[in-house]
Order: sequence, then C-alpha cells, then structure tokens
Amino acid sequence: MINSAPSLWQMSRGKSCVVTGFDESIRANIRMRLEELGFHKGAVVTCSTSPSLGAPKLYQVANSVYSLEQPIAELVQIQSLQA
Amino acid sequence: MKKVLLVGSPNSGKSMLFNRMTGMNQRVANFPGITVSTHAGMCRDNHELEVIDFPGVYSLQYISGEEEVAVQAFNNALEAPVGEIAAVVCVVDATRLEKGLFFALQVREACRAAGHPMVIASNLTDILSRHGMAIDANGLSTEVSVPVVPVSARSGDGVLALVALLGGEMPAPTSLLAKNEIAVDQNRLRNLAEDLTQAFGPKGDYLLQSHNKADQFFLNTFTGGISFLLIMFLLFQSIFTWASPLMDGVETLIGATAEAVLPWFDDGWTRDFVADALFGGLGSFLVFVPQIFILTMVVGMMEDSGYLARAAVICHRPLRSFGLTGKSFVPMLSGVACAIPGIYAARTIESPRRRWLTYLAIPLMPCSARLPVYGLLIAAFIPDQTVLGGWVGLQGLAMLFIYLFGIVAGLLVVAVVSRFDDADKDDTPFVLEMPPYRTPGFLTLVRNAWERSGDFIKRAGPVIFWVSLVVWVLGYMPNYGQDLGESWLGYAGRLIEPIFAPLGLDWKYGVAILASFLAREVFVGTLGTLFGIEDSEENIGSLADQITASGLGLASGVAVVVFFALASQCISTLATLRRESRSWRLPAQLFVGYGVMAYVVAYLCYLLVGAVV
Ligand SMILES: Nc1nc2c(ncn2[C@@H]2O[C@H](COP(=O)(O)OP(=O)(O)OP(=O)(O)O)[C@@H](O)[C@H]2O)c(=O)[nH]1
Repeated sequence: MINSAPSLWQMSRGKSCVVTGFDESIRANIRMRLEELGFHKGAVVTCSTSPSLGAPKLYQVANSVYSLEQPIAELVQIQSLQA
Repeated sequence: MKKVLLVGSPNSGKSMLFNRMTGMNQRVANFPGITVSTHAGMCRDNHELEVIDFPGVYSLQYISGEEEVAVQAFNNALEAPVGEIAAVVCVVDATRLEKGLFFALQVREACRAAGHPMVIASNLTDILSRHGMAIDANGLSTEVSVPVVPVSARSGDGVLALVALLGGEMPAPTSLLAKNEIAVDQNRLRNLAEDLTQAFGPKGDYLLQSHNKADQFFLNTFTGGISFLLIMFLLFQSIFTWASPLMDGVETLIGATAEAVLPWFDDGWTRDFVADALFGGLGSFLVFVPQIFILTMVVGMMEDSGYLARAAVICHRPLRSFGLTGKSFVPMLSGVACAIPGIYAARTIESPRRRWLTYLAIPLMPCSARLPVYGLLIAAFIPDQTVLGGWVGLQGLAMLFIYLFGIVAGLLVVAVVSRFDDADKDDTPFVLEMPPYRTPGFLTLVRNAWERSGDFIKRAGPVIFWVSLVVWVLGYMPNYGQDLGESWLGYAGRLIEPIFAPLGLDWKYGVAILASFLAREVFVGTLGTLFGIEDSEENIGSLADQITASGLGLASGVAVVVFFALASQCISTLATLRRESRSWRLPAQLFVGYGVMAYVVAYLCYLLVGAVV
C-alpha cells in the first residue's frame, strides 16, 4: 500500500510538524519506544539538523534531541506546521 | 543498613551522583547507556545507607534484552520487604525534564505498588542556574506528593540535603493515578509529564538553541567532515606528541632508579635478575603507561563534550555500508583504548545482529595494549623527525597509519561476514539521544585516565612480572647468563623457530610473540628481559635501540606489527566476549580465525616489503 501521508524524514531543517500517526508496518515495540521518547500523536517535533548524504536527521521533541535514521523516520507520519 | 536505589534515564547523571554519594569512582560519560551493570557502595555521609546504581533505562517497559535485564534487576530489588529500602531515588535531568518525569512517574507507580518511599533528584541544576533558570521543586513535589530535591552531582550542591532526607523516615507515595496505570495507559503518564513540565519546569529553550548551532557546524557535510578528520588526527598525534615528554620522564626515572639500586647488589644472579627482569622487563613496559593515560584523556574529552554522539551520527551511513550502525562507533572507539570496555559499550546497540558484528570488529581495533608494541617498533624503524614545517611528526603519522590499518581490517572483516549473514531481519533501528554539549569535567577525566592507567598496570603488571621471571630463569640457566643461545630458552626457542622464520624473525622474537598471547604488552617486557640477558654490559638503554642493533629488518618489523594488529591475543578480551555472547563459540572462532589471518597477512606483508625495500 502506498501511503501518501508525509513523514518525519521529509522535513527540512528548522521546520516543525505535528505527529499524526505511524505507518502500519512499524513494529509495536519500536512504536512504543518512539512514543515514550516523545514522538506520540499530537507531539510537536522540530527538525533541528538535517545533514546531507543520508545521515540520520536530528529531531527536537520535548526539550530533547534524538537522531533518527531514514528507515524509522519514514514510519512516523506528520502534518507540517506553518513556520 | 538500608538501601538507596538510584534509577533514571540514560545520561541523567546517576553515576556522577553515585560517585558523589559514595566517594567511589564509577565511569561517568556524556553518552547514553554507559552504565551497564549495577554497582553498590556505602554512602559517605551516612554509613547506614548502601547506594545502588542501576543502568539507565528510558522506560520500565523494555524493548531489548539488555533493558529487560536492567528493569528486572530493579523490579527484583523492589521486592525487598518494606523498610529495607530507604528510598528509590529517581534522577532526572532538569534540563530535559519531561522525559525524566515520564520515567519518574513510572517509577512512582512501581514504588507505590511495592510500598517503598521515593525521592526525585532533579540533577544538573548548576547548568540551569548558569542560564538563570530553575525548576519549581516545591510545586512539583506537592503535585506528585514525592519529595523533589534539586542537586548538582557535579558541584555537589544539594547532595547533603538529599542524604539527610534519605536518613529520615519517609512514606511511600500514595495513589495519584489509577491502579496499574503504567500497564494500561502510558498516554496518561506522558500527558501528565508534559503538564508538569509546563507548570514547574525551566522556562525557555536557550540550551537547545546553542546546541543546534553547534550541531549545524559538527554535522554539516563540509565543516563536520573536516572537523571529524581533524579531531581524529589530533587524537593520534596527541598519543605521541603530548605523551613523549612524559614517556621520556618515566624512562629517565627508571634509568636513574636502576643506577641507584644496582650498586647495592654484588655481581651475581640477583643483580642480573634485578637488572634484566625487573628494570629490563617490567621497566620497558612502564614507559608506555603515559601513552595510555593521554589516550584515555583525549577519548574521554571527546565523550564528555558530547561530540562522540555526533561522531556516531556522522559515521552511521558509512558504517551501515559495512553492516554496522552509528552506535558501533563508540564501542569501536572505546576499543581503541581497550577492547573490554568496547565490548561492554556494545550493549547500547539494540540490534542483536549489529551487536554481534560489532563484536567481530572490536578485537581488531588498535587497543592500547598494542600501543607499546607499535611504539617500540616505530621508535626502532621510523626516524623521530617532523615534516610540514614541524607540524606533523613522522612517528605519529606512522602510528596513525597502523591504527587505520587495524580499523580498516575490522571493517572489511565485518563487511565480508555480513554478506554471508541473513541481512536485516527483525532489526532494531537507529535512534540515538543527542547528549547536550558540555565543557568536559577536567577532574573526572584525569581520575578516569588515572584509574585506567592504574588498571592497566595492575592487570598487565603481574603477568609481565611472572613472564619476565620465567623467561629470565629459562634464559639465564644453566650457564648463568653466559650465553643466551645455549640457555634452556635458547633450546626451546629453536624448537619454535621454524614457525616464525618465514617472517624473518629469530627465536627471541618467536618467544616474545608466544608470551604475548598472555597479554600483548608482555611482548615488550619479554624482549626487554631477553636483550637484558644478552647484553653483557648491563646497558639499560632504550629497547628500541637494542632492536635496531639486533639487525631486525624492516620487512620483519612490518610483519610483527601486522601480526599484532590482527591476531586476537588477549585472554581477557576473549573471556569478556564469552560472557557477553554467553558462549565460547565466538571467542574460539575469533582466536583461531584471526590468528590464521594474522599469520598469513603478516607473511604476505613480509614478502611485499622485502621485495620493495
Ligand atoms: N554540569 C553538570 N553535569 C553533570 C551533572 N551530573 C552529571 N553530569 C554530566 O552528565 C553526563 C552523564 O553523567 P553520568 O553520571 O555518566 O550519567 P548516567 O545517568 O550514569 O548515564 P548512563 O551511564 O548512560 O546511564 C556526564 O557528562 C556528566 O559529567 C551535574 O550535576 N552538572
């Protein structure tokens, strides 16, 4: 199934978004950990650094910064916020 | 004696608080997941309290085997009868309060269910106050009906107040949330943590803004790449440039001590023993301790500044193409100091497959036990000169090259093995919390490096002493040091000579290599003893000069370096691997596989260098 919702991975530096859900292929324990770290439905996430060459991006959520690699950031669905 | 259980999220400063409370010296580092097992110690300011430090976890709901072990250990500890636990102290990082509070609320539920008191230690308050911020500890405490004590594990502020509180009687938390809420509704705890942070947490995100700027620099393709290479280059130059005055100092000290001590002995075997085995064997190994000290300091500085986590992000993609992950970077870099902490650090890799692949790479990382061997051979073969206007030392460059050789070999082995392995099934993805940038705590770093150097001497010293003793007796008898070639060791050496002859090594080097299977550094001590017996002038000069004078060829020197770079000689590493992988299979495979590889590649290099030079 092709999912058209934008994902965390598509965010560029400095942009903020709200987490709207997760791709259904995500494993339950990974989803749980992401939620515990702050990437839960409704959370506001800012992409603080977006290195090139496919390196993991840095996301700021609830006063912490996490780096997420592409395969996992793609599973978090978002709606972007106007800056 | 009552127990105090220290728990908290990774990198919240538990270990530093533990050290403050107990006066002990647990490893403190600015990287999540450094504490991997529980440690206990008596509280310095109240001998009735025993403090237990648990590994940091993000949640009481585990997602990996290692987290399960940590959480189970905590749950088991909570089963103690009410009254035995003075309190569970949940350490939260006040600069990242929401995450800490989410965990603290889970702990609160667990304590309430078990009937044990709980305290929240809001740590790192020194950073907050430096930026004119604070948390409302009283307000928070009233809201969650648990004492909240602001502390700074680094400066010690608030720690006495915490200990005083722990010495008194406290009630267990009462119901704030519905029963068994952690299992049923994590969302509610999370929302509560968010609300509490909004109401009582520090206002403003000054801290994050400054981090973001630094991240733009260190993770940028250009500036980040250049700074990464520069930092790595400095690391290796420092091992030589900064350590060499210290090493010269130690060498002079040993020489002076020998000169002062030796005249006390009459000519004879005791004098020979002290000169050859003690000063020659043990002494030549001690000379390298400053290098280990400096290496630990510099790696510690990178870790404590928060840079290592960025380096892990930079390295993630490249490491991924070898089958590893960015999280393999720290274990591998720790492996540059010593494979054992490296193997422990690999516990932070949640993916079992990538952890296993990291285990394969770590023993090939150029650990500090190899440093004396490399240092000796570099000093023997590479002139002590600088190039590029005095900025780059040739010996440092050679060391960098040898180190890169080990690292590349490790990556290649992993790449080959991962091709034959079932790829990516059920893999845990890369999520790494970025610790904040901090000025490294100089005292902690010195203490860490001091401790590691001490450990190194304590671990290797006795082995080197006994090996030096045995080698000396075998080499000295039966003709009292008159002729090393005719000694017992000489006979034994000639038996094994055929193994090392293809590498252009005579029996003395063969004996030293065999002895180094106990611990690599033994190589230096053994050679020191052997040359000591042979050298009738009792010259306690530099071992490197003696090697040069012995006529060892460059090709053989390179072969020895390559052999040491690849062979898995360290018994402690193999034992640690067995413990971590819970089987002898992996260490046995590594020992045999890397041994054969080391010999074959050393032989090829010998031929190659021999043909070129
Ligand atoms: N400024 C400041 N830094 C602190 C304080 N407490 C800890 N740190 C630093 O925070 C980092 C983490 O400290 P640790 O004690 O290793 O943290 P931990 O909770 O044991 O971490 P894990 O081993 O990952 O579970 C280190 O860089 C410490 O120097 C504090 O009160 N103030």
